[in-house]
Amino acid sequence: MIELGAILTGSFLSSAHCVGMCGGFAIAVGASSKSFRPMFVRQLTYSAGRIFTYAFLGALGGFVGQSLSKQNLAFVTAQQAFSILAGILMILVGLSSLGLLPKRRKSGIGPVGQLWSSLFSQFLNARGKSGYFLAGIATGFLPCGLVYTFLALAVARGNPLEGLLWMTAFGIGTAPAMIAIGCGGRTLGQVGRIRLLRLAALAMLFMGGASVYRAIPHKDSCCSPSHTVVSDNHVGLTN
Amino acid sequence: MSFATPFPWPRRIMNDAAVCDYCGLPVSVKSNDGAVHAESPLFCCYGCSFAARITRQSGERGQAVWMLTRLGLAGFLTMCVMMCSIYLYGREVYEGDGSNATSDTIAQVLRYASLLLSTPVLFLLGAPVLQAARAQWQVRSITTDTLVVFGVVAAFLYSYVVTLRGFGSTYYETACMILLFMTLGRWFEAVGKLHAFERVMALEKLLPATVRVLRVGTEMTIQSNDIQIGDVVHVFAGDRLAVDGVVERGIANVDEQIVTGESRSIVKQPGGVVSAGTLALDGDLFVRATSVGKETTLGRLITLLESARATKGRYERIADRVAGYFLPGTILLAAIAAVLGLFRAGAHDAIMSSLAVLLIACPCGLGIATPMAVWMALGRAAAHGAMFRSGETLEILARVRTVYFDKTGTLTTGAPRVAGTTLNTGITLSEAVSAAAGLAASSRHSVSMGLVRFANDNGIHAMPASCVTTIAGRGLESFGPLGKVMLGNEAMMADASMDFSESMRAALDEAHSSGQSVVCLGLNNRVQAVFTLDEELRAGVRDALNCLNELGCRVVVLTGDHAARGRAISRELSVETHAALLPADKFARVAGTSRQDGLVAMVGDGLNDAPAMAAADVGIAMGCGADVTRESAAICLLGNDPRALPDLIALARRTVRTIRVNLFWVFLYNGIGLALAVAGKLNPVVAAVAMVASSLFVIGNSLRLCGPRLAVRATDLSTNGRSKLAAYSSDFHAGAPA
Repeated sequence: MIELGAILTGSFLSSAHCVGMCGGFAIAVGASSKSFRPMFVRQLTYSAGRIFTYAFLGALGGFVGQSLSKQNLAFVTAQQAFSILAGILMILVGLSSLGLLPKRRKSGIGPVGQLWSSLFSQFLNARGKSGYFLAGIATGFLPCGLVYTFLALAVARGNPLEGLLWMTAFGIGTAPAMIAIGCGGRTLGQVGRIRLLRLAALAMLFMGGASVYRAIPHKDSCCSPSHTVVSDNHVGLTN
Repeated sequence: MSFATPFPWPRRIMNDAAVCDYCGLPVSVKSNDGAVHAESPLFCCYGCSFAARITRQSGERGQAVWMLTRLGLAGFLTMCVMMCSIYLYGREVYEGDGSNATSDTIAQVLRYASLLLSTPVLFLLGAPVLQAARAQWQVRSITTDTLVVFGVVAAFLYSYVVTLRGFGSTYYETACMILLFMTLGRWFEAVGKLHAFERVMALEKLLPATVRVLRVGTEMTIQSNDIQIGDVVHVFAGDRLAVDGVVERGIANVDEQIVTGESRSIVKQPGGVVSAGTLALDGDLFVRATSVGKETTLGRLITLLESARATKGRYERIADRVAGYFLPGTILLAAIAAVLGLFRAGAHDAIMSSLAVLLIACPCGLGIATPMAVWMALGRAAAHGAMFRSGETLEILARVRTVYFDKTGTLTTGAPRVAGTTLNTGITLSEAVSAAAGLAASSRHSVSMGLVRFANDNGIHAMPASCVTTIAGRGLESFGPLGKVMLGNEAMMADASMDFSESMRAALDEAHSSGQSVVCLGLNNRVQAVFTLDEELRAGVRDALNCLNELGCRVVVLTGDHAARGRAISRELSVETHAALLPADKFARVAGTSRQDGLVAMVGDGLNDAPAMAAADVGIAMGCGADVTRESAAICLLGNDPRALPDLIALARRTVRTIRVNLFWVFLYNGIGLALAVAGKLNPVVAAVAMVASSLFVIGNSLRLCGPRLAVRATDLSTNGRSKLAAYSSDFHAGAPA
């Protein structure tokens, strides 16, 4: 449960990234509505769609983790490997947010991305009640470093149910910022935004470090993920 | 796309002119009376009919939204079913039989949940495929899509029985995923094809949809299609012209790049001839239409592109032939897989194996592998002012290893240029040029124009000449303040008993030995100056020839000029040159070239060298401008920049490479996948995903042809030519040929 809280906090802090990448979609969803209430409902529906996709991906990831954990890798378990991968990804995301990594050349979204966005824009234009939910579902599938990072954590859980919960928590964490921006909430000023991004980057670095640290076997092995998984499983079922 | 394979029933009349209403791909229409039924829309595949229903225009908006919502809803439900299945599968595989009653109950609940969630998917996505299948059935053909849907229904029914029995594996998620991925894959293909089609037909979009015309004294807006010959069209500044015509009123700079390839704008005033597709830059024009619609310059370009798009190349014919055997072959293999599966593990394995076979054998990629790449390349070339007569020309051009050039009008501008001046003692350059240009100004002869240009270029004022008379085959003479002035060839000077000094004689001899033509200026009974002239090379000729060499092409120049001039050209351009050739000699030389190392291209202006062009495997006409229908040329370059040639060859080679990669991938994927599927080693869901991945690969790979670089890959070039080619390749892209 503590870890779920950490995921929620982590994703909330990193949602500046979501606003940057997908804020435009949220604004498009709310664009035609003037009063607050319907706009808010739309944003909720849209975010619910996104969270649903993340939950689905989490379950899938957990299932993959489960399959992998049955095969012994040479030195570390699959879960440890994914914990380390997730940690490294988080550290990379954090470092790049802080501007400490060389910037990648912008190369556009590529032909497949173009095709996907052609599908996606159709959903955004189809203004039915279900349209916003479906647009949310499609948004969830857009390639995104942050999603993959947390997904690696979900894989590391090695259990579909936990993967689902982890990614749901991630989705819920990103929702407030997306809903706020979609409802026309003023973004922070330049300085505020930079500070928030820094904070998010530091949070990512911290979480990444923790994830890697936990995955490396220590003498006092109570912290290793395999133990945690077992105990969490137990807690999950009895609760 | 999926292939509609006709039944081996009595052959129907084919109408190859019909095209898909969505993507524009040619469709063979077979109906009982052999006629195309215009009232119902025609689609080449299920993807196109699906995509068309989604993007349907005004009036049917509700229908479009519903089609889309249908897909989204199916996606959502499929995801739910997947989550149920993950639990069920994990339980089955990882918990074995050691499960308790609670988990059994949960499993049974999830099975029913899956049944409830997947039934709508079956109707949402399966029904449109069957609907399309019914239409196909009416024209006596079936598609693999239809078979897949039957397979899906079988999997669904099997799972239903398992659910009722309360134990065993269900395949609801397989059924849903297959339907979802099949529909998504078909849609992506249709969108990809449309993208390629629009790329080819980008020219069409240049024409304005409506125009302002003057009729019965008033100005009114009408559809471009309704313009009549003789109408006066009001073209506003910044608009493109919809008709060919003559300017009646107004003055404007007109950008004619689209039809001439020249990036300079030209001033058009009353009486000037303008073409459809050109752009009035800075003023209003009133144009009386002389030709409209398909008869206009742009209309002819579009017609040419349309026919280029519709012809099938070698690779496409191979794909078609293979696809013809696909359906019966696939059915046979699916049956074999079903029988094998039945003996191996029972009914569920039989259904899954045959489903996997149907999915993996679906030749989706095969159908779009060639047209996607060819269309992309045709569109790309057209955007740079190169019009191909057919898509197959691209494939032929890629195999060209010998390029013949006609000299005049191709490598050179065809306009003489003053290359050197030899003066007699007692006369200055400006005096000589001034007198010669004054005389030349009254003549339209190309040599005269070269002299005038030389004077202008050097800032020398032409001295006006009066009473100029032209002596045929000799030159010009006048009487003015300087007395009798003569400008002409050696014979003219000899006839007039002009005195040749030693230096003049030497200059003439030298010019003769190097094959240059000469003009003499006679004044005061003496030859005062000898101007040697040669033809001006087009900008970029050297670069173009070097790059053709780098591309491994043998370059040969053919010219009708005398041998000395041929030798001079050969020296100047370091290229093999054959001189003193009549059109018939050029024809014989091109026709007689060995095709052992590769095919032969002939580049010329498409007029006097037409026979040679016809003898070559590819005739390339330069400077076609509006006249793109020169029959002998398979490729027409609108402009005059020879550097377009290596770029085109590189583009053609890259296109063929793309086609080969596409086909190789598709065959490899189908082959390996089929083997696995028949052996029962391929999950149908994986097969469905692989099918979409294969189509996306083909689409993505073909879209790369319209990437930032036109062509030019390192493998095309030896190291030393790479930077040079890249440098002017970028000029070409920037649309600023030097």
